[in-house]
Amino acid sequence: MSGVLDGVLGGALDGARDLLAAGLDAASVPVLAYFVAINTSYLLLIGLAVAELVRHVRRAPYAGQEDVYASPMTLPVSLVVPAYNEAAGIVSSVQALLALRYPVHEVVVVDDGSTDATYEVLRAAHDLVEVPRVVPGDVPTRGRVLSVHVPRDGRTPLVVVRKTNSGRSDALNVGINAARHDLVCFVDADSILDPDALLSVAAPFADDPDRVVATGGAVRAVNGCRVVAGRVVEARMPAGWLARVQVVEYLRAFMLGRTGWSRIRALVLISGAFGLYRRDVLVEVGGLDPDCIGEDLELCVRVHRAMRDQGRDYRVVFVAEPVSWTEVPSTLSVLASQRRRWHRGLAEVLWRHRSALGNPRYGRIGLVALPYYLVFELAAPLLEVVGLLLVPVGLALGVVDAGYALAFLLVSCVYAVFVSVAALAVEEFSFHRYGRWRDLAVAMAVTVVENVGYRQLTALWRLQGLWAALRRREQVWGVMTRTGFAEEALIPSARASLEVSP
Amino acid sequence: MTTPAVVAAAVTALSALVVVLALAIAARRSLRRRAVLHRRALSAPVRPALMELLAGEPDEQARAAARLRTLDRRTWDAVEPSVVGLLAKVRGEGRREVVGVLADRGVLARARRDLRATSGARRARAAELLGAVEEQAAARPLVRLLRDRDPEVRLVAARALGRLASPHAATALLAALERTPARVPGPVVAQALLRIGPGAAGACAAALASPSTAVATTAVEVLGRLGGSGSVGPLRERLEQDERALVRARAATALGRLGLPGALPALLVAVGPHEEPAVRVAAARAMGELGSTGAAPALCALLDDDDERVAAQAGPALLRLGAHGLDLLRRADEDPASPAAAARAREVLAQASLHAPVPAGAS
Repeated sequence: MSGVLDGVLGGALDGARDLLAAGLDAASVPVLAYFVAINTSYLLLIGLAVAELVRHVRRAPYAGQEDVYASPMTLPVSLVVPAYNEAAGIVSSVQALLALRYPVHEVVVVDDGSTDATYEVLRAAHDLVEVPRVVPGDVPTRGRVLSVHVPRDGRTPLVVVRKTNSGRSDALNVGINAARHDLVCFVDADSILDPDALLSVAAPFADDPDRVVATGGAVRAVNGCRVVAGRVVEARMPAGWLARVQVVEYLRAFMLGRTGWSRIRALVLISGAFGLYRRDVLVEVGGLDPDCIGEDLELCVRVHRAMRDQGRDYRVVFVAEPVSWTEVPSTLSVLASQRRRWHRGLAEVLWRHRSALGNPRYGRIGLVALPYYLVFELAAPLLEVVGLLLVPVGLALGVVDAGYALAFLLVSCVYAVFVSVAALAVEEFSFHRYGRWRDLAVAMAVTVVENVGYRQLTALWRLQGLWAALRRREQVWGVMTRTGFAEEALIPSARASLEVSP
Repeated sequence: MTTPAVVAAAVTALSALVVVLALAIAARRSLRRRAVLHRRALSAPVRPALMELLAGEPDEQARAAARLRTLDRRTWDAVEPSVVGLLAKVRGEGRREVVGVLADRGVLARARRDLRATSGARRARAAELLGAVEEQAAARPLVRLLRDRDPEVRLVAARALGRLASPHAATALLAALERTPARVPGPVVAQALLRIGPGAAGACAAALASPSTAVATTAVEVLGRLGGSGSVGPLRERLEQDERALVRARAATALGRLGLPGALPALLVAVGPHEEPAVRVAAARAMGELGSTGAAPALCALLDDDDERVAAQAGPALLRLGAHGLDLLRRADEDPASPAAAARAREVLAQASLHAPVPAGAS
């Protein structure tokens, strides 16, 4: 009996081995080609980013930021801050935004039906009074505006719009409607901005006013940094490895990824934590899509498409200067939820704009940027996870050559280390914000450590996000539990923005 | 070449690259720190002289300048950026001393030479410095740089010409806008012309009817901001006759800034329903800035305008007309015939009840 069973099992095993061997054999060439292509694209992005940052650093002495500040021609900005249960930090955030160095700007806080004391603390801090202000309906919205409030002194450029809860995107759309200035800047309530942040991201509008329609600022992780009076005074590495890895990840994404894409005028992602748009363009495209998870990416792609559909000569610019700081997740569960959400958002946006994929009508956006995101961002975790599952099985069944697998793993790890170290080098030669040798040593260690566990976990979470997008499950918003900075407690809040590591 | 050999070569090459990058990072950081310490050590004895230039009495400033003139080469190289940085901080005699030191140390001569350098960055840096010291002799080469192949250099040259405040540069600055795309951004040219001041008015007036929209709108904008009653006539002509809506809208805004009642008849026509929305919005706002009660009936009617953007301007404009406007707003607030106008009036009255007027919208 046992002999029969052994025979059957043995036969099944042989069948599985043959099937796996055939599959791996067929996949080996495409996988190798994919590996070469993705790494070559990283190399190209590194090259582009270096070229762009060399230009940026060289022009710093004559960038004319003071002229932008002094010019009566500088376009005024409305900073739109969506706030949902942000009572703990909203007052200091608004004070920091009002104190930004910029010729003319207003702060529009949209209280998205908070159930805590968000409005009350603002009212007390700024002596708000209700005004019967008519909010135009330039952009369609879902939430109902309940009331509009301004400071009693009539001078502080602050407007607080209270509305029924309808989500972050819709709150931003209400903010666009309430904004009175030509440029609209989206800022998360928990972002920490440098004093010249607005001048930096608005400068491209002054330098090329006819063509620039949107600019995005670089966002960095604030965890571990010294924060005094709502300002980052010293960039430092955080204590936990999870946050440390994300510091390097953000550096890689912003210093190499977005800088490179911006260099070839194919930047399709402006972070919702700090992005500046022309208001008329936002109105033209109908604002943010409240049904889309990756709303920041979706808006930027939609702006690109609208501009190209109209045949307009336009630019979307990334400003590499590190001026905006945000807290990154310090627990696995929050990070997992964030990465699932981001990847699901990416999948939804690419599906929504599938007609632009490979479409020459959309130039570099349709032919390069979107296909890149599809092939090297969306699909990458699938290949990674499948590889992680199949290779050990193949090794166990003896159909994968252990030497070959090890060599492949070694090359990909060393290449990953190289890309991360390149990001650190670009940072060191340009902005060098992390001044301590200890931080440099930690960052170098991260470039190795992240390959063991972190990359595999994020690949798994991203795959889960992709699966959720395919199943079209109802979206679930993660809650970002803030642990606060060295000197200032921050606020629990939900935030969705799509970050893509290069 | 066998697969293991390829892999070994790839791993070796990548590892070498990683090591090289890591060493480059460490070297860069060390060198930068050493340079900072070196500069600090060299400039420490000179720091009192820099402070005297910044905040001292004229005789102290002269002594400090004399000290800087006699510094050895290495020390001067260390403090030169700080001395250049003083240009943005000191005025009067102190500034003249700083410029004198830069001239005597050969910095300005080097900058004049660098205006012809092969490197765009050097040309731009030189233009920036010559603008900062307001070197009048550099006006001609800076005008030439408005046609430079590097857009950054053109932009810096335009800003520098503004700082020189030479009226002769005004025509060249406006000419930089003629091509599409413009050689220099319109707002940069406008700011430079505003820095030149009334001396640029003639060139702007001559450019009002330019076939280039960028030139015409910039000229209109600058004339409106420079002030001067002589500009009302030409600007009114633009508002009445120019075929380009953008020019007409800018002309309406400029007439509002000038604030002279002679512009009212043209503005009353410009808010009419036949006009482009952008022109009507600008004209409605401008009528408030004029402050003439003759605009009141038209503004009252606009409170109920179909175009929300026009209606939004009418209320604040009425408020700027003073007591008469306020009275009309109260009446509109109580008029049940037009809920939309009443809502607008209520919004403005609520703002007026605060300590300051309604903040001006984007212009």
